[in-house]
Amino acid sequence: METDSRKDAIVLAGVTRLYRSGSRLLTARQKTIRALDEVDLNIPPGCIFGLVGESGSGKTTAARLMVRLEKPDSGTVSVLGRDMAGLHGKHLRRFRRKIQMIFQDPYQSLNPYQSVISIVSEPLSLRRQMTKDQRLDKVLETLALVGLDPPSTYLHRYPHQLSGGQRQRVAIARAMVLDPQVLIADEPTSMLDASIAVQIYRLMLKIQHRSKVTMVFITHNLAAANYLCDHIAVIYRGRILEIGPSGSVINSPCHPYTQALLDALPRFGHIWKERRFDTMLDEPRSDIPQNGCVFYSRCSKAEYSTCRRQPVLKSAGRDHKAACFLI
Amino acid sequence: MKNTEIAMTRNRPYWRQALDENWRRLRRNPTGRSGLILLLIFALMAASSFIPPLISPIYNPMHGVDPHISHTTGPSLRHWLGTDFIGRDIFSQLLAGARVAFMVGITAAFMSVVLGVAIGILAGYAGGWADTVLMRLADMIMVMPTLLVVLMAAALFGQLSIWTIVAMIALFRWPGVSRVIRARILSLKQRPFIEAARIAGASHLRIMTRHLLPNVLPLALLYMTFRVTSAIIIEAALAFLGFGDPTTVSWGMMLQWVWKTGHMFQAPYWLLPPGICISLLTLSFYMLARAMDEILDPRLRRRGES
Ligand SMILES: Nc1ncnc2c1ncn2[C@@H]1O[C@H](COP(=O)(O)OP(=O)(O)OP(=O)(O)O)[C@@H](O)[C@H]1O
Ligand SMILES: [Mg+2]
Repeated sequence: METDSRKDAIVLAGVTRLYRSGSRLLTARQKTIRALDEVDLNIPPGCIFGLVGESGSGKTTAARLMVRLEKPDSGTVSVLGRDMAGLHGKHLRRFRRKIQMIFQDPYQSLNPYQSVISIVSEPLSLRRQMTKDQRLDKVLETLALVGLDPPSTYLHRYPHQLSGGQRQRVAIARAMVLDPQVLIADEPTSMLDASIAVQIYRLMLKIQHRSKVTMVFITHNLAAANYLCDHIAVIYRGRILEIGPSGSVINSPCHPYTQALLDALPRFGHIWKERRFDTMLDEPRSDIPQNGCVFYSRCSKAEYSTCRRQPVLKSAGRDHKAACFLI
Repeated sequence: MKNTEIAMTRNRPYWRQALDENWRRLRRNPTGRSGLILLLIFALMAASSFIPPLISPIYNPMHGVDPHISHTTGPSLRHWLGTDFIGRDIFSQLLAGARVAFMVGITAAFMSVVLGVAIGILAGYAGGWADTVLMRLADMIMVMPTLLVVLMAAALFGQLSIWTIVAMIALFRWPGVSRVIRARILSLKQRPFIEAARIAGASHLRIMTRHLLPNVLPLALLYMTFRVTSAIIIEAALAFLGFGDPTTVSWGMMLQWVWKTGHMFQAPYWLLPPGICISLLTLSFYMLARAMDEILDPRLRRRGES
């Protein structure tokens, strides 16, 4: 991961995103949520990068910043060497074709009034130079790629006539039809059942293998990340706690939170079957230090005196870093 | 080419399917069915309004005066509902009035809904100051009583033509529609499929017309049906108060003639038909709208239809 950052497909540098909740008029003090807190992330091109964390840890926020559905409150987000904050209007629209996204909920991410052909060909129709026949060929080819076979039987269906897995395939087709260089998949299987999820994982591996697209795969499931990803970053409450090649993160996890995530995986038939770390407290601590380690309240290894400061990412092996005082 | 053939063999578009489905549900709904039947009767009346003048010029609702009658008479074989104060046929006036009511009601409602939907989508999607400005404007217009404003305009500019009245009703009745549409847009625009369209590179105009508009169209149709009712009532009230278009025969106008010539309590055959017609026609549109409201209620709909 210590590569030249100019070559990286996606670079987040000191990115903070705050959400303010509560009205300014009614409540004297607004509550701010740090969805992302000083996040640095370099995602090398042509790999599958896993972003793993529990619900509410800021994964979707990171994805939305990468496709510039949102802007950071501070820090910069660069994709393919361009600072996303500097793009507007037409330039943004043109640049966006290179960065596509798959959303969490396939029941919400397709327009109920559009047929499959109009959903998948919409990104193409904004490209003037293609003829109608070329567009149709491309749509059929992409539908076949995502496993909707034979494609012609799906062309004129509407989202409500498709299963969840088929919908997600249509969403993947819409994202892939432009041959993007970056594909961000925000928990693409969290609404699907396990067997369908495995099919989608295989599909994503196949797509990545063929097109060499840089893929950011967001999930709450370390096993899925292990199956798919070359690199894994573990995020908790808006901070990256551990990052590294997936083999090394899974086999020698350094951060108590990563260890807790591994503990939480179902036991059957995994290589880490016998290992338990027991790093997660059942009852959160109450003596939470200001600006301390974000995992302190639930960490069984933490000590107040050391953990009241914010840990920074430290090297814990080849390309492997963790933010914990224990290493 | 084979692929082009595939693209040609499309099934019906979704909005057609949804429309057919809702139409079937509307006919099964008792309120909707009664509304439709009433509406059909009035539509037949309006459609046949051109027949009496063809039979004899004395049945012309505006200018046809029976040469033998110079005062109001009760129902007879020659004049089924009697004649008015100068001997014009009340039945043919009633038929002409149905045509005018439909014309006024539907055009005014259509125009106000088009305005309301356009402004609602724009305000909801743009947000920020554009939203604030448009919604304040809507509030200001919403609190103005339409009837009073049109009355004042009539007092200022003299007789208004029927189309001016229609345009004024449309101009003063959009805010309610735009508020509802805006609220729907606010929730729609957070939906991932709108964000997906943005990521695919769709422009704002395209998002508003291709993605947001189809999703609010059923709601717009519902509001249009409600608006027809209020437009008909406003026109009737205006005409009754003597500010209608004197060159058209509307039911309000007929009531105005009854009142002006002092036959309020002497000629029930003349007073009742236009009064009943106004009530029944507005009732039928109202029942239709209520039934549509029930059918379009998101809680009663299947998942994914939205
Ligand atoms: N629009 C918003 N307004 C206010 N707070 C928000 C908003 N979006 C997200 N948040 C907050 O930011 C934090 C991170 O949210 P985010 O959606 O990124 O989590 P996530 O990791 O994607 O979770 P999940 O796995 O449930 O999708 C959460 O605490 C959430 O409540
Ligand atoms: Mg999420």
